[in-house]
Amino acid sequence: MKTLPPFYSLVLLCFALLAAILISLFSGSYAVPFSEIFAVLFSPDDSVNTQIIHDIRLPRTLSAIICGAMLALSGVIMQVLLRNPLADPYILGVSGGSAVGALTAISLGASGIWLTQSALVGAIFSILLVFGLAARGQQWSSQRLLLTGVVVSAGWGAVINVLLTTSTASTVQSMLFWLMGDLGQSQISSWHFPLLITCLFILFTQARALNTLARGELLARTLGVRVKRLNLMLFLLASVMTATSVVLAGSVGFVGLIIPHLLRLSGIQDHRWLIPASALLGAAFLTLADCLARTLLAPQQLPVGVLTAVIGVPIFLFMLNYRQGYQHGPGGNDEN
Amino acid sequence: MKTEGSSTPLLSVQNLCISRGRTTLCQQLNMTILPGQSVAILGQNGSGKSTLLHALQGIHAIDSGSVKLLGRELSAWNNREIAQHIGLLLQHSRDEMPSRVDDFAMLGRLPHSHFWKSDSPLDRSAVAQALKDTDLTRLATRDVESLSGGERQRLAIALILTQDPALYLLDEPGNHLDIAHQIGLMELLQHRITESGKAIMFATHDMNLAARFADQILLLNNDASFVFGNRDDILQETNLSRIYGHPVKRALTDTEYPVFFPG
Repeated sequence: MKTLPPFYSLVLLCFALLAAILISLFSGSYAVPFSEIFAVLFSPDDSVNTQIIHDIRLPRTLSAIICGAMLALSGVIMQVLLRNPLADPYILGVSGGSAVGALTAISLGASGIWLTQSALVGAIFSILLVFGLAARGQQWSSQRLLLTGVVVSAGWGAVINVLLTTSTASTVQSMLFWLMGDLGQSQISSWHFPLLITCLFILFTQARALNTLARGELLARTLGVRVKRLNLMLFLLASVMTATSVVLAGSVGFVGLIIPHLLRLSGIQDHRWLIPASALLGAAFLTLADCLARTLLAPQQLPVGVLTAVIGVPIFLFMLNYRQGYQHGPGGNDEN
Repeated sequence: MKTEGSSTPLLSVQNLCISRGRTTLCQQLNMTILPGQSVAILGQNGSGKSTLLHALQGIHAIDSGSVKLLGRELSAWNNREIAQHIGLLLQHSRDEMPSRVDDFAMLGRLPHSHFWKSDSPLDRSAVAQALKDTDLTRLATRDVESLSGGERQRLAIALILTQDPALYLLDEPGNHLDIAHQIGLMELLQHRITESGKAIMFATHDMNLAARFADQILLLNNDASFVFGNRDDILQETNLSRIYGHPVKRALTDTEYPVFFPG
């Protein structure tokens, strides 16, 4: 089994992200020549090309980068925090709460800023609810957190169904787009990138502690990790990043689940590498998925969440069968 | 006893009381561990061997009394400093996430590392040496999940070797190990502590492992009382029979340590 040294993987992923950004700026129904992209990117003028790149494609690409990176990072965190490979950013109900907020806003006819505000309120409410319930016990165990989150999430699911079934046909479509994840409406702000960088930095300082936490809470404690504080910090970081991403683009699925596993399967298990690699691959993956979402059935747009699943599932299943990393059971004593 | 020249005790325990749930496990425990010493804890299931070890590493809260590491209250040290001085081999380890064997052993370097520094040559050589000592070098790139029970136990020992603490607290170090590795690894640890003024405290059900490698014995009774003292004073048929609630006999051998067997 050959694996690339992590440093080279990281360099490769940087190039992948750059390529994805270029493709994303290039693709769309209106043809902007490749040479023009650079010209208008660095020296904007009043042309149509400038408008298309600066007002439409660039913000959308940046949103994809932010959402992809944040979802992948939350996925890494959740899998360690809950020590459960099935964990994804939405497992604790952040997206459910946010969806209920957003769908309520849509059914009331709101859009734009009201929609995002209401999604944010829903997300924050859900985070506080799960945290409040899980932290009530004497010991804040990951099992308790997981169960609380899953049940709260199921509750939100029921509310979402009520909202969907009682809405008129015209609003249901925009609701479905929101639920599947869509970058078309996302409004990127100047604080998104600093937030991502801050989260990345905090996570990076805890990377070794995450390595031990992934092997068990007790072991981490014997090695001097302040597990309670770390758990709380991870929960907050994951919640903030998931909420940010959900408010930007709805609940884009699969990125948070698949990206960390893909990297683990390809041999990057040390969180010092896994954290930056996840952010890069998540960003590149969602950017490319969004290109396809825009162009596949152009001029009609697909929700990007559908594309992440359509691309992600086969790649993931292939890797799972091709690589040996997750095989349990016998085979412990073969000597080669 | 090899206590000559040792000034401060590595660990001193005064009037320690610990409990788990509503059960009191230790009542007014007093003991000291000097550099170079090796202490074995014997007792029935549920007598508090593991809990005591956890309490001595500060990951189980104590009810009353004091635990001093190098003369300073354990609670006055921060977690990282404790982990630099005291290592704890846990009895159970669960693996939910994949990890390579050498990466796992590297975790022991955590208390000595800084996030802005990558693994130093010292860290890497500590891991290489620990894997060599535990006979795992040829499995270094394998996944932890593919190891057998004994290999996994050796890996857990490799981790504590890379941690390189002054006091080794070992919860059933002989678990799952074949006799060659059991004796080999205990001899290695024994060598380490006598050579560099460290100490071991290990909990075990194996009276003979205790008799062979410990010079001090702590017997924990199920009623929270205890007996602590030199090996030859404590390891007597009567004492052992009492704490286990089962007759224990001493074999007549020509070894320099006593050998016992259940009657």
